[in-house]
Amino acid sequence: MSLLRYLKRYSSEIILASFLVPALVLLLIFQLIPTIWTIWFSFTDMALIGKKLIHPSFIGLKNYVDMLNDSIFWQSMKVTFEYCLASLVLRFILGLLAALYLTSKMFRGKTILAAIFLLPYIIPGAIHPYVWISMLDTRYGTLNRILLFFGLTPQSWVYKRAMESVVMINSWAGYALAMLILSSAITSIPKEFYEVADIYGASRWQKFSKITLPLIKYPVILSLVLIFKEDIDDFTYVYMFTEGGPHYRTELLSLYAYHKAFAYFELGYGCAVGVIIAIIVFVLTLAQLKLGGV
Amino acid sequence: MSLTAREKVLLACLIIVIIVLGGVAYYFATFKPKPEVIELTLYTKAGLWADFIRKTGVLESFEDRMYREKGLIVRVKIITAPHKGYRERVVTDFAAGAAGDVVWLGESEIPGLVEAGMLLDLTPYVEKWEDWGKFYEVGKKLGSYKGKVYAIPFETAPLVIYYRKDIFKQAGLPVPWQPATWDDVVRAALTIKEKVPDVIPFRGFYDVCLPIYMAGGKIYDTTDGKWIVKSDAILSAFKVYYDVFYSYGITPKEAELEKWDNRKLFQEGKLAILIDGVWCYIEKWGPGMTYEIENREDVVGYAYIPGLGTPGAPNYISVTGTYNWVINAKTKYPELAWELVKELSKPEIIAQWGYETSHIVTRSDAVLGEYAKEPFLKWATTVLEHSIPKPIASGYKKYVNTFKRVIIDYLVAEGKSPEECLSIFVNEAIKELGSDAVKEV
Repeated sequence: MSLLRYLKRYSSEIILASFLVPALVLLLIFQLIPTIWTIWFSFTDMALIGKKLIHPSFIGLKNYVDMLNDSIFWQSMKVTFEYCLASLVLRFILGLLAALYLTSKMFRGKTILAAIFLLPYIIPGAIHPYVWISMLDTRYGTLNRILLFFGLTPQSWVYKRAMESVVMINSWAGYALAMLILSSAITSIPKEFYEVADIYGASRWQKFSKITLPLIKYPVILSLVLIFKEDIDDFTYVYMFTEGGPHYRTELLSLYAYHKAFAYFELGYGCAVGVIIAIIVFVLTLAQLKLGGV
Repeated sequence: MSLTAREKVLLACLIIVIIVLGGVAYYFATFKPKPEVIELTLYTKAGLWADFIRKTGVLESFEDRMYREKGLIVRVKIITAPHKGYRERVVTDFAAGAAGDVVWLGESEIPGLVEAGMLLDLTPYVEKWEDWGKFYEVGKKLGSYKGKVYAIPFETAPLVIYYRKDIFKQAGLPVPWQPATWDDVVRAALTIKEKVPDVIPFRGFYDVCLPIYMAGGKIYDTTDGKWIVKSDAILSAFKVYYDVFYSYGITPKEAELEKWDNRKLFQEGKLAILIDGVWCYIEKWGPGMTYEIENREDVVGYAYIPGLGTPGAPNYISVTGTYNWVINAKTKYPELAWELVKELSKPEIIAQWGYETSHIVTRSDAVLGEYAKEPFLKWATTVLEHSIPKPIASGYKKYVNTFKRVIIDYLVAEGKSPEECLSIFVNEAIKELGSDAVKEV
């Protein structure tokens, strides 16, 4: 078939595909090429300073092998999973409670409260630590003043409770994601199920555990995967609030990659850590797509 | 003779064509090509730093001078990066080729950028520059690497002891005060701890390695290019920290672990003795500044930092770094960039910056104007006589960060003994720097 005939025959498909070209070009320039570069750098001893900036060498898997023997890398991995699990539980529970509140018939003012619930999620993440710094100050912070008011011991939020502090900030900022997914799932449950349950005299807990939870099983799993995926490469709070301290106790993998690449200028090693994070996120994305039936 | 309509139209067109052609001929006859505008970029910190340059008019005077002397139209554009994270940003921009022609740079990045071929060798330029002889040696050393000059020092800022005169008087301590040894500092702090108990007696050291220098030690050996990770001086330094936090308890551990704001505490009169940089006097506590202290001259005293008083320890000591102007090796206009650096490094500009931010001038002929009249700055310039430059070598940040981590995470947080801390430091430093880059003395 000649080219002209081919073009004529598939003209509508070609026109449709051409609308994708700008987005594909952007994806190529800002996603694919940097990703390939990062993977390539992870196999070199590239640095941002010194001779290795102009003469980097290909070192194969050395960065990855060094990572296996790097105690701080494993500490970061452990800290990251602890952070993700703790945030996951808190974000999910807060999100579920907020979703139940918003979908309940009992309470009023839900529109305004829905907007208030969403506020932390839409405020830029870089602002959150500044809000919380004044709350968590050991001597003058609001939280310790509240604890003192109730006769409890003030805490060293910046040092001894550094991990708890960042988990708290992250959960406060991010519970709205679960709230949005779950409230939309709960709203789609047919009302008739609850009406029948009312006829049979079911309690609120029975309605929740026998009707609501089973029917929102997949949105629950989806929101758990999404929250975990969001938290695994978290960076802002630990960078601005604790800088990974004390003693690497809040050194998340993403922050460790940043420190290696931009504080110690070991770009190759930092990229290798970044690749590990990308693999974890990729696996979670596959799980998310499977759950979504894609 | 009357013209027909057609003839009138033809005549009008002819007149229009003649006018247009005449205009075009006039334009090309008088046309002169626009002169080429050379753009230079100046890369510096945002806020105070960039604002100072704009305020002084130094760029305009440079542009005028280039036009008068060389017939060149030069425009200098300022590129800024935030103060927080400036070091990381400037190095990344150099690597990406996005740094300016003339760059504001701290001394610790000079070795790495030189090795990467990013900085222009200024040795041929300074050799012909009569002003170079007026720069202090400590600044020249900090801007040099392997015998060549790569940076022109603009400011330097040694460390000093500050003390609150009002708290000293309350505790019955003499004012003015100049401790002869470290023991004098400890004695004063203990007196304050007893007599003025709601005040923190002492906070140090700003440069975490200062106690090593106070013991007469060093952290880097220039003869073999190795970092010293075990020595009597380093052990003495750990002992100083242990005494401060545990033996004498003149600094609460929380102040270090929770990073209390020392300058704010000093301003509020809740901290009696502080070792910090000379810039605090004006930049932090000066009129209109963040932590302004009223009647600062009556409230804030200052003194040289004494040595430990042990054999080999200096009488007085300080450590200093510099911020410098460097030229990007990839600049298209190295001669013009050098002219810009010379303009920025004029004594009156350095003196004005020193006065406004209480940094010390880097050249002897810059002790003039308001800078020369300010008693603190005149005194602080003499601190340079006792100051040693920070080591200019790759690995400095790793060494200092490792030392700091051991102090905070093991000594302060866990109360480990100085000997245990020394052993931990040796192991950690070897991991960070490599066993062939370190040595013990």
